[in-house]
Amino acid sequence: MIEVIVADDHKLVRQMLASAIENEDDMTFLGGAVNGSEAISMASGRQSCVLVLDMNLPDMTGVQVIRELKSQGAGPKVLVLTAVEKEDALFESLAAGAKGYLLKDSDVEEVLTAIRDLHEGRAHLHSRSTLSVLNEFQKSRTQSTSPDKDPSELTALLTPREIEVLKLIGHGFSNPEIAEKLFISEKTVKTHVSNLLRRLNVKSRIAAATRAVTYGLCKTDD
Amino acid sequence: MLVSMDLETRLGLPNWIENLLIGRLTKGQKTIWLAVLLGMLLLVPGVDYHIGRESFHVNLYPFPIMLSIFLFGRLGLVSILVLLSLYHVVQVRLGMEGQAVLINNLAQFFLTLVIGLVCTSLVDAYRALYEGERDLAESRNELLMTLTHELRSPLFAIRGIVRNLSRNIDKLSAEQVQVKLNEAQAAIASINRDVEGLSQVFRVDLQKIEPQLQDVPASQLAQEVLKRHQPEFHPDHELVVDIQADCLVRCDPLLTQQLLDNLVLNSLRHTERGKVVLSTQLSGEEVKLTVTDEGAGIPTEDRERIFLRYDRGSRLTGEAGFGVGLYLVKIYCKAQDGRVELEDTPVGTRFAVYLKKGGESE
Repeated sequence: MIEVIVADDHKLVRQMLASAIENEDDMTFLGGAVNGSEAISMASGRQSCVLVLDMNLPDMTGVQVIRELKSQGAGPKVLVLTAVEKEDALFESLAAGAKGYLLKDSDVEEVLTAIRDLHEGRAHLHSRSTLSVLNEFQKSRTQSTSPDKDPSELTALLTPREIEVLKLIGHGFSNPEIAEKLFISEKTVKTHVSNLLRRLNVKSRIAAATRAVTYGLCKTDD
Repeated sequence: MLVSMDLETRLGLPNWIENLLIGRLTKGQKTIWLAVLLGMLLLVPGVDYHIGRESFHVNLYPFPIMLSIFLFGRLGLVSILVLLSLYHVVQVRLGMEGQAVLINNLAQFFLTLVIGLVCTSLVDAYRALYEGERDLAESRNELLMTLTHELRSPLFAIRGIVRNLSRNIDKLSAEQVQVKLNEAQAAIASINRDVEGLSQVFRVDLQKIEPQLQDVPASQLAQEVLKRHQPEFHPDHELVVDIQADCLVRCDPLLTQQLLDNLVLNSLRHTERGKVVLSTQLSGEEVKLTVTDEGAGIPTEDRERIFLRYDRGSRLTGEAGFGVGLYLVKIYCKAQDGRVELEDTPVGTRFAVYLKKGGESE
């Protein structure tokens, strides 16, 4: 039997998925979590369970939930089910350890298939998300085969503060986390991010993070 | 990424000029502009043109000053004026310029100072406009993200409920089918409420609210809210009306019902299960209408901003919605010379609306 927990702030989504899961012969619904803390306490230590996780929870982000579960050791397999189509969320959740990623425009059938895939040790991504991951992989593969770019090129383009922000973006931190680390406001972080995106001539945060890696800002000894 | 700032600049000039105007230059660009500034300074005090017998002197003050303002703001203006003054004083001291030229240059100096100040104001205004537009773009993107999230989730639920129904219709009793249909209707009602709330905000933004004040019994207002409430959509909640004191309220009944509806729906949204109590009581010369729930309550750090437009707070439970419901409550209260307050309560949340008592001669 596949044990499933659903963490979503929308009650109807929880109810509907509970009903769909209960109607499947090979699945059992363990319970619904309204927020991230509930999801963590319900799913913690349940290795064989699949956690269907919304990214936009009331008290924390889905990525924080995945990271917390991972830090506690062997946890459930996480299938992200989100309404927001953001590449940042996709890459951050996969980097944190999610094995599946679906958007809420998917059919319930696909959610059930994804739950089965995760249970059997396979990954499952939404078709658009697969394309994003593929593009990103190809980009990073091309970049990783070329030597690191000279970091002094960056200093000509960005201010020291923007370089610090870029480095943290490269490490996968969100704006609130960067604000906390650099002791500045979130609005200031946003300004730095928009400036560095423009100066690096890139359109997304992920592209900026890739640049951070290319320029050697995200080496593990940093 | 939606929030990435790829804002079109306003004047359609090349990027290297737009960056100078908005004061966001890279180090390389700044070095080039500094070199240009130095070049301009070398041309000061100007160029003499000779056409026939006539001689024209063109003073180039405004150009380095404008560039200096673009690069360094007010400090640029002051520095360059000081530098130019020193230059002329040295020129006179060395006997390279006569007094008459100095007076002429001084006159031009003050004229340039005025131009410089005007230019500084224009640069400030342009940069403020740019910043404003960037903030607006960010807010718009955030709003669109919120709309996407808050609409996609109930739509996903509706599609799922219909799918579950059609797959299991033979196995379900008529009662169970009705429950599922109610769930779907509740999801549709949720979307409807969000969209209606948003359209009310747009209306409020577009036009001034003109409340039609009249005396309405407080109990009638509360009962109307109860009548509109659809208990079948909220099987885990109980809405209770508690008339502690009935009296006339001086209000616009439509606005008051809408604001009470918003408060009740807000409570239902943020209470997993339990009671929501709408009560009416007298409080001096005012009527106090309260909505109390047994939900998770509002964190202290959110209390200041829950009435802000599009603020969705750091919730503990429940759906966020578009973050317009409580904003509208505040606006509708204010339009009727009333107020709304968040009161302390041991469990859950209590909103208190104070409106003027009716039945008194003006």
